[in-house]
Amino acid sequence: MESQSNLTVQASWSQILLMLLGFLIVRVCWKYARLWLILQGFKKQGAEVCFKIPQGIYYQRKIDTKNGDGFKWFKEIIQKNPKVRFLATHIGTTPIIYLVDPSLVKAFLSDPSKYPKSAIYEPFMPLLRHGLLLSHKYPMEKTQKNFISNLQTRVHYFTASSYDQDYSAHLLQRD
Amino acid sequence: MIKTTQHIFSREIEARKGKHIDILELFQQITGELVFRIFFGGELENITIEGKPPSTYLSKLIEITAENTRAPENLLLGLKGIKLGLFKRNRDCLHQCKKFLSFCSEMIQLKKKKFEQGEGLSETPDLLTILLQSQKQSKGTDDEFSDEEILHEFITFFFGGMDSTSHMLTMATYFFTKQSEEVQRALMKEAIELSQAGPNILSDLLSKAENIHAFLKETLRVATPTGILVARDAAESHYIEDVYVKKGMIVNMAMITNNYNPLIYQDPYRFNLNRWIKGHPDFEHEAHKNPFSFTPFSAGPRNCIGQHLAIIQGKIILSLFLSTYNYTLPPGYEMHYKVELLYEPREILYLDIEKK
Repeated sequence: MESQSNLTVQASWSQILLMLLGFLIVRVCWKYARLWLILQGFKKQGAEVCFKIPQGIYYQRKIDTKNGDGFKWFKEIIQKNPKVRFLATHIGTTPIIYLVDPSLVKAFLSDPSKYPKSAIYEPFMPLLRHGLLLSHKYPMEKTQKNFISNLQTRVHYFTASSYDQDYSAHLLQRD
Repeated sequence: MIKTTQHIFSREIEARKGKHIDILELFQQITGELVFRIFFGGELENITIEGKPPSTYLSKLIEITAENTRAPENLLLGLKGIKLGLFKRNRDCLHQCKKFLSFCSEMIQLKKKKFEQGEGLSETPDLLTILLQSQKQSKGTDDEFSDEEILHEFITFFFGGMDSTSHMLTMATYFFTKQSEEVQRALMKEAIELSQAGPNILSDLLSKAENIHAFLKETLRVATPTGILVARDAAESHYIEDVYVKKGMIVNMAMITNNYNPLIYQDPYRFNLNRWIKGHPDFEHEAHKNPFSFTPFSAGPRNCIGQHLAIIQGKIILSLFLSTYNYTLPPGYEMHYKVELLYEPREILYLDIEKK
């Protein structure tokens, strides 16, 4: 009786493990299927698509680097389709779009408030979190405000300011 | 800028007897020391971190950190995944990061001490002094600058001012060897004029260097250090024109793709500086029509703050290098490219350099 009950327990553990594994596989498959559907949707809107399980664009760049140019796909795609509006691909299961059409680029760059720097740059945060490159919204505004308020009372900023008289003006125009 | 550049060139090239010099590393040292002096009013000569010049150390740190951004532990767990230190790349990254932060903190504290004692104040303060002044002025307000913010700004400017310019110069050095004799002569003529002006270099002379300017622009088109931007997450679901962007998606732009658009550039794979020279038959009108089609320094409110400085530095350093030294590529060397954080040579470009 005892050995029979042990067997039952063992069987149900392995069943649970199998179920979990199955669930995980289905979930991963579903995520990639959903990703594929999203990318197909982008294709209909004029995008060129790169879908490579599991890593996506990182994998493509790895292959391209081996072939001599890490940006090979980025360059070749526009030779085939010079009117491409954007490129749609992924990093893991997260979709990523690379805008190409200058009007899309303009719309994207004109309103940085909607786009904090991506979470994939987390490893850089201990070094650059509050700097102009990676900070977002308030910290960035504060930095710019601090620079600009000081710039207004200073004649020189970089040595460049003595070369390019419009340089300070250019900085003051930012945001 | 000119004296420092000349000094570093002769110091480094003579120290290595001109043979097999990693040109990217050399340019990183020059731009690193220049940036350090311009922004922070200090000298980097003879300062090392674990035996490496700070510019080289930072460049390697950026490289290893970029490698960690692509690692599965980061994609799954973010910084926490890196902090677990499961892999050598994580441990190296954490160690180098700690070392570099401590080096920068020390530099800032030294400056702060001088600043508080009223030493080294001038009418033309460097960036770090401006930051410290801001900190003092903003004390107790909502806009107060913390020490950590100053530290991160310090590193941002050090990195931003050093790495992309040195990559541009490395590519320019390579492309120079691939030009016709006629183009090389035209570039050399301007390089000599600029370098002969020495410290008295004036803005109009820099502006007149039309060929060098066009050469750098073409370098930025063909092998721009930043082929894509620093990626961004969509903070909310919205449309960019008719393109639906769902919250959490990554949005970026592909400058490198536009740089090879055959509708904008005739024969885009060919390096042709005349595309940028007004009045030349090869001048690309299409490229000048839309300011968002060629954006090596990005555009809009968050464009590159150092773009003018980068071009000025590029012109001066390249001119001094071309007019002072002869150099040769390794036999049979053809440039292959890889993408780390920046677009760069896949194999280190070693040059044999000798004084003219």
